Amino acid sequence: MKVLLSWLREFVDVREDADEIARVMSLRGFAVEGIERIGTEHTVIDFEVTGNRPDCMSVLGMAREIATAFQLPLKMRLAGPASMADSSKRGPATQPITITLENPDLCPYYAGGVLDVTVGPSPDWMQARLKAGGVRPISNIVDVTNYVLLELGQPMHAFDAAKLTNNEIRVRTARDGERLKTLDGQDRALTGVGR
Amino acid sequence: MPDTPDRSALEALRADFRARVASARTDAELKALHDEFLSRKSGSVTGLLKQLGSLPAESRREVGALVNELKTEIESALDVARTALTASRPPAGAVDVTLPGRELPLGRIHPLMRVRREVEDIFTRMGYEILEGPEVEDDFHNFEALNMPPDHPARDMQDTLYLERPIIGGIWGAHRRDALDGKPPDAQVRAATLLRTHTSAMQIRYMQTFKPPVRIIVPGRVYRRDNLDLTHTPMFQQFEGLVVDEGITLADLKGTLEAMVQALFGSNAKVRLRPSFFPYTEPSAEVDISCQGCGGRGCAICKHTGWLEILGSGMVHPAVLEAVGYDSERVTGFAFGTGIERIAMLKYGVDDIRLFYENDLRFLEQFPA
Repeated sequence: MKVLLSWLREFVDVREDADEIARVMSLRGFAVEGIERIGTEHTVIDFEVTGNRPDCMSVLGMAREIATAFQLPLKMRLAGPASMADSSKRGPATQPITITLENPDLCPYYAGGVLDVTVGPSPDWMQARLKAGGVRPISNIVDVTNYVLLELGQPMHAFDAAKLTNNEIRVRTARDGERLKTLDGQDRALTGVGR
Repeated sequence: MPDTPDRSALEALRADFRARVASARTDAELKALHDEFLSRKSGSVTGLLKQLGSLPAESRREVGALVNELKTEIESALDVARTALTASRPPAGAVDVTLPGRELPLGRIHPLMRVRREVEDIFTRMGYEILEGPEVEDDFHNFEALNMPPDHPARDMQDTLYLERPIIGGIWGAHRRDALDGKPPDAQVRAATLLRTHTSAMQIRYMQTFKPPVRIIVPGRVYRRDNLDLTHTPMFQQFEGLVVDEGITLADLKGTLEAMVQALFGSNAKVRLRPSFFPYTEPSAEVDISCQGCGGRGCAICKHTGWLEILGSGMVHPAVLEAVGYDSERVTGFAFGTGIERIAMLKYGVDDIRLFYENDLRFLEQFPA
């Protein structure tokens, strides 16, 4: 897990430098694989996160752990859904989307919103943070989902509303024999889970 | 040479030949004699034979017989001389017993085997049993019984090599039926589907077969889908330690590891435990030793931390004890495992793991015999 120190400091006021943070955290179960400096201002610490700590697979997660280690408060920044509720910003194509959960035992909660977006490159600061975290910038839509994943550990996906069938998203496990073309361009054969 | 061969010329040739063959000492000299007298083109006796045609018919027969007689004499004299020369030489391949002996290059113990034997020796002195297990394993022993059920994310920590076709019938422990109270080695007859990714698989086989107390060291080869680089080989060697009994604590683990590290690296070597995670131990710890390059002050080898990671360890997870039928309320245990190459690299200052498997004599000969 590559964590940009300046990003981390938005969540916790840790004054110690990267070497000291690495030393303390490696004794708390987060071995440091390397410290990388980008230019003169930015430092990236590469933490090894063990399989039992998926909660630390994000800037927020590591910040929480570091706040505990250095006995500092964690600064949570919570954004409301204000911009999505603002109907004046909605484009003409937006209609309500139905979300159906077929396997609520596996996926109990699925949230979504509809936004009118013009596809283009994401801002430079976002691209720089993605690169520091080892993610390749692609476009503003893909980048913002990856940005949220890096910052909060929440996986997201963006769909083109115009291509949804019946304006519906159905969340379910695969069926035997189904095929899926994934983002890397590969056509994959799926198997059912036999439930 | 006279125009026609006559008796005196023949006798002169004969006398000349006899004198010279008596003094010939080498094959080359004999060959030269043969050429001079008998060679097809320029031999002097051959020359005489060629001239026979110019003789008057009445003397041709007589002189011809004399020349042929001389030719036969020369041929047989050369044969005798050659045979005598050969007989006087030592036969091919003969040994000159007066020469000093030649020193044969001596083999030596491979550095990995040295470390393995050293580790075995250390733990034998501490009363451990040393044993090996099968390299072809089944999913149950390699993963499931070690608290890694199917789909457990920790299986990704070790890229596994699977067999194209399962192998049925390998029964470990059959040779120790005495320990089984006559029972068949339950759950040990499974189809092998993979190459073991760690020697930990043997923990399960041993505990299924024997009751506590357990005190074993398991050295052996393990396999992972890694590409060759400075620190990875698809086949490498580990050793595994397992102790289970009533009242075993983390302090026992640390004391044991300290004793091992100081035996391997000298009494100044220090040990530190860092929290980590393995599915089959709880709590788990990575074990570091003080850097051998700088004595812990910080240098390039230890990336200026003063410590080098050498093994993984922890207290045996209760789920593992239950999987082999032990009472996890009554017994506890610790386990540890490490790469033999890793220890050899630290101990001998080797920075490329591939050197151990290339078997370049220039490398191997740097280790004491």
